[in-house]
Amino acid sequence: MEDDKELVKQAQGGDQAAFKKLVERYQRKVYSICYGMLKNPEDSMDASQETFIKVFRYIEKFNYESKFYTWLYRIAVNVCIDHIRKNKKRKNVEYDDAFSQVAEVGDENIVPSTLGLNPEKAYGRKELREKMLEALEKIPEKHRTILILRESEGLNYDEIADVLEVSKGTVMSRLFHARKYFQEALAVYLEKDKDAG
Amino acid sequence: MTLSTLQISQIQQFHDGEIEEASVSVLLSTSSHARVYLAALQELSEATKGAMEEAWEKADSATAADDWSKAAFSATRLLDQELPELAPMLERFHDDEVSTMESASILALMQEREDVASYLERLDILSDTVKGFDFSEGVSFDGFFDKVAAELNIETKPSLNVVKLDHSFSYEEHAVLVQRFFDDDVTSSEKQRVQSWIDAENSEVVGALEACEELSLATTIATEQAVEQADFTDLWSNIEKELTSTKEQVVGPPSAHVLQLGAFKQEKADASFFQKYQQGIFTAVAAVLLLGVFGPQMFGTEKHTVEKIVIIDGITSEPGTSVRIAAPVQPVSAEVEEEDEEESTVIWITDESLENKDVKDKEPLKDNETEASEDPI
Repeated sequence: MEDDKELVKQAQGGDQAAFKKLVERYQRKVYSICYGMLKNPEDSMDASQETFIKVFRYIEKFNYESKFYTWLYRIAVNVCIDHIRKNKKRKNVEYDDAFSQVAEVGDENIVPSTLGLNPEKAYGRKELREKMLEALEKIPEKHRTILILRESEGLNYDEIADVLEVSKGTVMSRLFHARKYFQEALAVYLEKDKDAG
Repeated sequence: MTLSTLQISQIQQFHDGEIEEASVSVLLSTSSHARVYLAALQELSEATKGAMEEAWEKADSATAADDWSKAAFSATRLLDQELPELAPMLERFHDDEVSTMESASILALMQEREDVASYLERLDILSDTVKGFDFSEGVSFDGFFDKVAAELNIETKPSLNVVKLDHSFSYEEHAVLVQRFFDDDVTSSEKQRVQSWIDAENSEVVGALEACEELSLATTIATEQAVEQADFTDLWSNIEKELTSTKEQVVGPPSAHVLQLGAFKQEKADASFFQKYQQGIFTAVAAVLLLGVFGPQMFGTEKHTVEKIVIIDGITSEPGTSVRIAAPVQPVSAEVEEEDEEESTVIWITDESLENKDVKDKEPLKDNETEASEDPI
């Protein structure tokens, strides 16, 4: 399989087939990030599309100073920020809703105990997967994004800092709180799941 | 024997990656001072990096590179000091009460001085013992001093080779460190520290790591769930459609470039009018003068009415071509400078041989000429 650098070079030379390979390689990841920020399938797909169009338009300016995917994710994040700005009113409503459903979260640490999740059970039950998604959707956007970049995309702190254009200290702080929020949200949703079951 | 200035410089260069290891290998293999100096530089580098990036966490302020050298050099001096002289600093180190520089010096020193490592280990043992008493109920204090004394006596026994720095764990203070350990973003000393808590089966540390594992799993599952529900079938075709229209835009009719000139103007809207168009104003004034003086010679008897001046930053044209402004022209005046931007006007660049013929749709402003300063991100 051709590496990113090779494909980027070809795409910079105008090779659309190479660019298509990059799109296919990263479409799910870009969508995940967009979904993490926008929480809406249609908007996320639009933002993913817009991201790749921007990438194609500016790929000549990519100078290999960073990895291609961090550059790509940075564009995706910026595209999503634009979307959020355009839909600010709606976003505020969603945030209010989020905070009302998640227990109050202070500066405390994550609870050092497990919620009893096991991979087999979690992957096997569709409704449980959906609960997890709902829980993830309930935490604030900036925390959701950082969790996805770290846990789902596997970026390290430096890469996350690069993508989000924040300091590494901010990454650590934000990730710390993101985990706390998500743990709280998961607890709420899994408790609901237990009650329903 | 202490290090010479040249030797210090060589080690610094090696540390900075400016010279190969071969250049200092003899020095490092023969001089413990050199090894301590290098180790201290490395520790300082790690600590400073940490301090800069994790200022919000408990960390010292960043150390300037110049100070590193001094600090590293002071570590080599410690190498020659007797253990009793070093003890106060080692005890402060044990209590986590040292500066970044002192900490780096001690960590570097431990690599060369077995007695230092051993002393610190004994402090840990002593500390654990004391803690044991603190947390045990019903323990008679009669034997407390004897126990402590017994531990202190270990100091006189042969030192151990294994270095164990088991700093006490406080969940409030070290929760972030545990998460950074989970994320594999810790220095070697931090890694050692957390590992020691894990080895000691600290339930809070183990629980926090399990929680991190669980949250990681849940995030991955949730994200996959979101992606699973998405339909990517039209994504590429939509992108392709856009790319095609982008291409058309690049090679399209001049009108497309008129819009881009407009965008360019919009982009510069924050700058003052005169600043923005200084060059253009001069160009335009020159053009008016040229038209006035040489107009009849240039265009024969054909009459050209100047109705509007298009202000631009510059025009690039090939030798042998002329620039003809076919748009209506208006005179430049102080009032014009105050006016708002009007819609952009097409600039036609025609070949000399085609003068006075129909303007041709060629040589439009290139896309990258108008967008060169645009930030892609």
